Amino acid sequence: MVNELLRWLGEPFELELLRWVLAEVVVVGLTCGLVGSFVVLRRLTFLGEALPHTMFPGVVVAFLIGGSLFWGAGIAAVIAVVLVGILLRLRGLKEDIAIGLLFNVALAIGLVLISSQRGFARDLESFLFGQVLAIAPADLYLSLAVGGLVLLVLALFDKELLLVTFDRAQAAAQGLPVMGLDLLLLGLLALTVLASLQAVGNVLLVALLITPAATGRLLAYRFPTMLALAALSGALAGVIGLYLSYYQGWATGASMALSSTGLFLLALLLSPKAGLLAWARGRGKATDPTHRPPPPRGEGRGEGVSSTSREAAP
Amino acid sequence: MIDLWNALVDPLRYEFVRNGLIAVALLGLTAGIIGAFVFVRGLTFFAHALGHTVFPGVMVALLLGQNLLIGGVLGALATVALVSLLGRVRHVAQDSAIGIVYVSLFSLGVILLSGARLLNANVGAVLVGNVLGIGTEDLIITAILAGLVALGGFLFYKELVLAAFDRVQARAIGLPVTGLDLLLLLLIACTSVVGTRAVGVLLVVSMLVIPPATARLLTDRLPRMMALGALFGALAGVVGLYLANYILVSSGGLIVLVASGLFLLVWALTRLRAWRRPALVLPTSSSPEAGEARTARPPGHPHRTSAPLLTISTNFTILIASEIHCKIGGSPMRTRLRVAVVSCGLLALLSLFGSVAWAAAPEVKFARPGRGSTVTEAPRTLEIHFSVDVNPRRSTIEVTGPDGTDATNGAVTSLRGDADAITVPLKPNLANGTYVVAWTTESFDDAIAAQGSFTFAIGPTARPGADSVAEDVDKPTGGPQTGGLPPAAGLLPLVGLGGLVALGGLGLRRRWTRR
Repeated sequence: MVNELLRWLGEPFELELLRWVLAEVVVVGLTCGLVGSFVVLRRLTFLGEALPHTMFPGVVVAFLIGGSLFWGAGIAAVIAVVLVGILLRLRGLKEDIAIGLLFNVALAIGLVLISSQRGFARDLESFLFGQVLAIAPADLYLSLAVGGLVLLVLALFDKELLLVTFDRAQAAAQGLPVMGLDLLLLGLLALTVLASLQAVGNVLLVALLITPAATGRLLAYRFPTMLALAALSGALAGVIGLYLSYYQGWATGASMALSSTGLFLLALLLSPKAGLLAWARGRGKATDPTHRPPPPRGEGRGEGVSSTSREAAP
Repeated sequence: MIDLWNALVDPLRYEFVRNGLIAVALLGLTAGIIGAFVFVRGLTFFAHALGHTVFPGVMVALLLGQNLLIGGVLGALATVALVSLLGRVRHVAQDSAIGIVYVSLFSLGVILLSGARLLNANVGAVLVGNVLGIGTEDLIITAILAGLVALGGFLFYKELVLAAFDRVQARAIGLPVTGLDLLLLLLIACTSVVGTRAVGVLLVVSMLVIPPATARLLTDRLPRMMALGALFGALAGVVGLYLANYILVSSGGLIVLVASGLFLLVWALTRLRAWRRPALVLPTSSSPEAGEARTARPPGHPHRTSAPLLTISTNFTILIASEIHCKIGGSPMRTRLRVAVVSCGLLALLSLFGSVAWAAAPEVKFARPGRGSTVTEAPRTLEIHFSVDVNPRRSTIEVTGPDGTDATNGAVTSLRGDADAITVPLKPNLANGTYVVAWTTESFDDAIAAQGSFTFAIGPTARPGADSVAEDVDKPTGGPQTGGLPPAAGLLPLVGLGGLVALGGLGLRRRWTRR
C-alpha cells in the first residue's frame, strides 16, 4: 500500500526533466507566496495582474529578434513603470485607470506583433499559459537567484517592510524612506514575475501571487506565520498542480492555479478565525482573539444613516 | 481622392466586413457608455476579471454544444456572485477576491480546453477575437445585447449616477444600492460578451477603459463623457478594422492600438491647448508681421477646428440621448423595471430560437496569386485565405491550366500556422495563360461548407478571360450573397441607421417643444 503510494508519487520524477520542473515549481511557488503576501496586504492585486501583461510586448520583441526573453521582459517592465508614473500625473486619471490603460496597450502591441508571425496561435498560448515543461537549467538558476534575493531582502528589511505595509504614516514619521521601500517592493515584485513567467505564463501568474497569500491570510494570526504559510501553500499548489498535470494531462499552469484555489477553499472551510466551520460552530461569534470590530468606514456609515433615516421616517 | 474613396468603400463589398464594422461600432458605442461608469466607480480590475471569465463560460457552452453567448453571460454572472460572496468573508479583501475568482475560473476554462483537445484556432478566436468571422444571426444577437445594455444604462441612468457618486445619499432616499451595483456589473458583463467576439477576452476591458479615459481628458461632465467615449470607441473600432484589412495582423490588437492612439492624440491636443493658452493673453504686438503670424495659425489648432467639431457632434448625441431619457426616464422606477424585465425576456426568447453559431460560412479574404490578377512569374504555391478557420482535410482545390490539364502538384494542406488558410503546391514552370481555380472547403468550427472559383493568369500579356466575374463567383453555399453588390450599397444599412436615428431625434424634438 505504502509502496504503491510511493511509486505513484515517485513515478513522474524518474525523468530528469520533471525533477528540474519540480524544483522550478517549488522555488517559484515559495517566492510568489512571499512576495504575494505583501501584494495582498497592500491591495496591489491589479498591479500584480498588470505587470506580467506589460512584459508581454518585450517578450514578443525579444522572441522575434532572437534576443534574451529575460532582458526583453525586464526592459518592457521598466518602461511600463515609468509610463505609469507619467500617466498618473495626467489630469483626472486614477491609478486603476492608468494601470488598465497601460497594460491593455502593452498587450495589444504584443498581440499585433506576434500575430504578424506565422503560427502565432501556438506561440501565443505558450506565452499566455506558460510552458513549465520547457524550462532550461538557466531558468531554474534565475528563479533560485530571485528567490534567494527575496529571502535576503525580507530578512534584512523585515521590520521596515512590515511597518510600511501596515502604517505608512507611522513609517514616514519615523523617518523611513517610504518611497524607497515602495520601490524595493515593486522591484521584488517585478523580479518575481520575471522569474515565474516561464512556469505559469502571463495570464495565470496572478493565481500564484494572490491565492496562496490569501490562504495564508485566512489561516495566520501573525505576519511571519502568514508569510510562511503563503510560501508553503504556493509551493504545495505547484507540486499538486504538477501531479494533476502529469496524471490527468491538464495544462500545467492552469492545474497549478486551480490547485492553489483548492487549497484556498480548504482554508476557507477550516480556518480557525474566518472559516465556515468555525463560523457555523460559533454562529458568527468572534472566535478570533485578535479580531476587533472594523472601524466605521464609508460603507458602514452609509448603512447607519440609512437605518436611522428609515426609523425616523414613520 | 478616388483612391481614398475606393480604399474606404472597397472592403464594404464583403458581407463579413460589413458585419464586422457594425459589430465593432456597436461594441464601441456600448462600451463607451458603460465604460464611463467603470471609470468613475474605479471598477477597472473587476471589468478586466469579468472580461476574462467569459472564457470558461464559452468553453463550457462549447463542450455542451449550447449557445456560446449565453455561456459567456453565465460565466460572468458566476463571477459576480462568487466575488460578492467571497468579498464578505472576513480577511479577504475585495481585490484579492476578484483575483482569486477570476483566475480560478479562467484556469478552469484552460483545463477544459486542454482536456477536450479543442483546436488551437478556436482558442485564438476566443482570446484575441475574430471580428471578421461574425455571421448575420450573431450580429443580430450582438445588436440586441448592445441595445439592452444601452437601454439599461438609460433607464437607470439617474440611479446609477447617484449610486456611483454618493452612496450614502442613494441609500438614504431608499434606492436599492446593492441591486444597482449588481445591475452595473451585469451591464459590464453583457458588454464583455459583446466585445469577446470583436476584440477577444484578453483585450475587451480596454474598450471599457481607454475611450472613457480619452473622453475624461476633454470634459468634466458625465453625460458628455459617455457620449464622447461612445464616439471614440466606435471610431477606434471602425478605423482599427479598416487598418486590419490592409495590415494583416490581429484586428483586436489593432482596434485597441487605435483607441490608445486616439488617447495620445487627445492628450497631446489638450497639452497643446494648455501651452498655447498663456500665449493668447500675452499683449498683442501692433506690428503687421505679428498679426500675420497669428492669422497664419495652423488650421489644425484645437481651438479653431477640432473643438467645435467635437462639441457639435457631442451635443447632437447628448441631445438625442436626453430626449429619449426624458421620455422614458421620467416614469417611475417600477415602470422602467418592467421595461427592462420584458426586454430581457425577449432577448432570452430570441436567443433560444436563434441557433447562434459563432462562426460563419467561410468567405475568401484574399488569395495568392490574387483573384483575377496577372502574375509575371509562375507561382510555386496557391494560397487561399478565408474569413474563418477552415478544415484542410475537407477542402479541395482544383487548378485547371489553359490547356485543360491539372496544374496542382500535391495535396491541399493548411498553411503552416494559419488555420484560416489552405494552400496547394503547383507544378513548376507553369505555362503562360489563364488558370481557373475551383475550391471547396468547410469551416472548422461548425463544418459549414462553401465553394467558389476564381481565375488568375501568368505572363506579361495574358489577360484573365473571366476577369469581370472573377471577384463575384465566391458564394458560400447556403450563405448570404457576398459579392455582386455595387460598392456604395454596403453603406446603405449604415445610412439607413443614421437616417432613422436622425428622424427619431427630430420627432422627439418636435414633440418636446410642443409640450
